[in-house]
Formats: sequence, structure tokens, C-alpha cells
Amino acid sequence: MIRSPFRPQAVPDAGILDNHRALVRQVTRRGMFRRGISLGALTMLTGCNLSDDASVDAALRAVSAFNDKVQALLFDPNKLAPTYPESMVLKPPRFNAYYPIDKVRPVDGATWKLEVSGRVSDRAPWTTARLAALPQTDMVIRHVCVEGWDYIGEWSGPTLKSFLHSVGADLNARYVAFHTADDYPSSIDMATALHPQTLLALTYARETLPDPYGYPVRLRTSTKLGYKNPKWITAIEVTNDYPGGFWEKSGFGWFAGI
Amino acid sequence: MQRRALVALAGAGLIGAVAAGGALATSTTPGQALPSMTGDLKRRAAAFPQPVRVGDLAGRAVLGPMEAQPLYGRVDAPPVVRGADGTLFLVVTRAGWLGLGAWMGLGGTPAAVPLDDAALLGEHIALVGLTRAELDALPSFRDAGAAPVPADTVIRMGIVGPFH
Repeated sequence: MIRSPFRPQAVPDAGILDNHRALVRQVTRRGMFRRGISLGALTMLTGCNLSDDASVDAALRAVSAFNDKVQALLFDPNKLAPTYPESMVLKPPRFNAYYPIDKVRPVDGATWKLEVSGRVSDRAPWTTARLAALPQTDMVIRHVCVEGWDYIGEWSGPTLKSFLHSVGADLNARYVAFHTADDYPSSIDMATALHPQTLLALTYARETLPDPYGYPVRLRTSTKLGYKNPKWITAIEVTNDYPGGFWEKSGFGWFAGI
Repeated sequence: MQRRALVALAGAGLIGAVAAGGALATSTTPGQALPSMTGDLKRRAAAFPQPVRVGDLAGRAVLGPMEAQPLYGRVDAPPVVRGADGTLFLVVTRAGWLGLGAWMGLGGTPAAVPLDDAALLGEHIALVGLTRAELDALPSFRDAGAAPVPADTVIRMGIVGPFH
């Protein structure tokens, strides 16, 4: 193994992390996040008692909440994300979930119903046929994962905006929340929900969405990181109460704009 | 407008402060095998095979199924051949000396990897049924007796998620 000439000869005592083992372990998903909550980051939290897990947790979450607000302020609801030629589409797309591929539980599209709740006037459940009857939008966009990888994919389906109009949603509500067949709750802000490149995707590369990628319907938004795109959606709720999300519970940023 | 810019700067500063901590941290040992590698990874990868065009496989990186996702080689051209008994093989140019074979197509020797020992990992290929040592031990592949599968043929391959 070749040792990098830029690697420091001595590193700070990592013992301080022992005191915060529970907090660091809580974010078990990816090494990047564990490194984020490290000695360097902790020393930036001046005024915090570093032996107090709760205060460190609260401070980090306060920074994250502040970042969410900044991102919401900067979000331009009319600005489109870059699109690409169909020749660049990766077929099949990359699989990712919080569990391995063999744990995917396919959804039966014939009996599947999409429940609608919250601040809407029409709560009648939706079928795939009804979603397919809405005007369809096709977009070739880049999927960007918080882990650092990305790919270009082609998605089609009704815009979430047209769906929300159809169910008589309160478009002044703050959040649109999603429940999924794989217990991956998620939510986005209303401005992003109404963005023209936020789809309830029914197809990939002009073919029905395959099972591992969220059949029969998943969210695809061009303006947020991959983990904000829940698959196998079973229910949509329009609400003013912060719904959070699967990774957000573990400290991932909620707005997650790109 | 000015207020927006100031808020943005403040946000960027805080994000930077948190990110700066990353440089000092230790990471998982590179090359450390995940538990999934110890037996059933190949079976898992076969759970939901997906269609892929043979021609789209040429040049893809072949990676090890562990957190560091080390580069083992690259898919050759033609990418897939059919053996005398009909079995499909992925032709992989092994990384060779200092990995140059994989990066530049020089020096590395090709090997025929049974197709079900490989799985799609996004735009890459993961080696799920062979270890690095087993890949290196495969005999050098010669075209004799194996028929290239046409580029427009669609085959099915297993898929896996990222290992990091």
C-alpha cells in the first residue's frame, strides 16, 4: 500500500469521539456522515458542552434546520434543472435502497391504490390507470445521490402539480408527504412539489417502471438529492405539520436541494 | 437580493464548518470485505435481473463488492461471448500491473467471467461471484471457440446497490 505524502504523521486524539459514540452510531448509513460528525466539526460547536450528547445533537440539527431555510430561500420555482439527450440515459438505472436488492418487496399494480389525505378536497384513492390518464411529462435528468454517485435517467409520468390540482390540494400548505410500501416516509416543500420537473414517475426509459425502481409509482424531482425520491408510493398527504423522513430522522438534511 | 446573498454566505459558512471536520476522521479499512461478500451476494444479486444491451457493457469498470469498490478491470469489446455449450461470459480485461491495463487497455490480460458472477452496479459492473484472487487465476481468454454476442442483443443481468 502506498502511503500518501499528504497524510499527516500524527492525527488528533480520537478519544473525544468515544464520548459521542451513540450519536455517531445513530447515523449508521454512510461513512461520509460519520466523518462529518468528527473531531473537527465538534470543535466548531463553541459554547456546547462536548460531553453532553443532547446539546451536540441539538446544535447540529439547528445548523441543518438553518441550512434548510437558506436552501428554501434560494430555491427558484421557475428554474429548470439541466436536461440531457436520450442517448445518455443509463439502462437499466442504478438500484439503491436502505436494504439490499433481495429485500425488495414488489407491489401488485393490479390491486395497488394510492391513498390521498390531508388538506385536499378529493380523497378518493387512485389507480395506476387514473394516474396514466393525467397528462404525462417526460424528462431526462441527472439523479444525484448524497453518497457521491450520479446517473442520467429518463422518467415519465404526471407532474405532481397536476396530481395536486386534481385532488383539490391546498397549494398554500407547507408540505407534501409520502408513504411507501417499503416503510420509507418522505416529504418535500410545496414549492418543489409544484416545480415542473417534479413527477410521479410511472416509467423509466419509456418502459413501465421495473420492480426494483419503485413500481408502480415513485417520486422523481430534478431539484433534490436522490434520497428525497421515495419509491413504491402508497399514500400522499398534504399538510402543514412537518412530516420529516426516513434519513432525516437520522440527521440528513431535509431540504436536500441540488 | 442583497439579503439573499448574505443568507447564502452564512449558510455556506456553516456547511463548510461541518464539512471541514471530515478531513480529520478515520475511515473504514479500505478493501475490507462486507459480510454480504461471504457467501450469498451472488444469490442476492440474482433476485431482480434486468435487461441490458450487450453493446452498453463495453468499457465499464469492474469493481470489487466492498466499501472501497476497488477497480479489478474493465469490460472488453466485444463484451459478451457465448461458449460452446451456450453459456454466456463477460470478457474482462484485468487491471494488471499498477492497474494500467484497466485504465488504458494496455498490459492487462482478458478473462472470461461467467455472466452470473457479475452484476450491474449502476454504470459499473460488480464482481459478485468471484474474489479478486479467483479473477486473477482465470486463464487468459482466447477467442477460439467462443462466439461474440452481437452488440444489439439484450441479455439479463443481476443488479446490486452501492457497497459504500
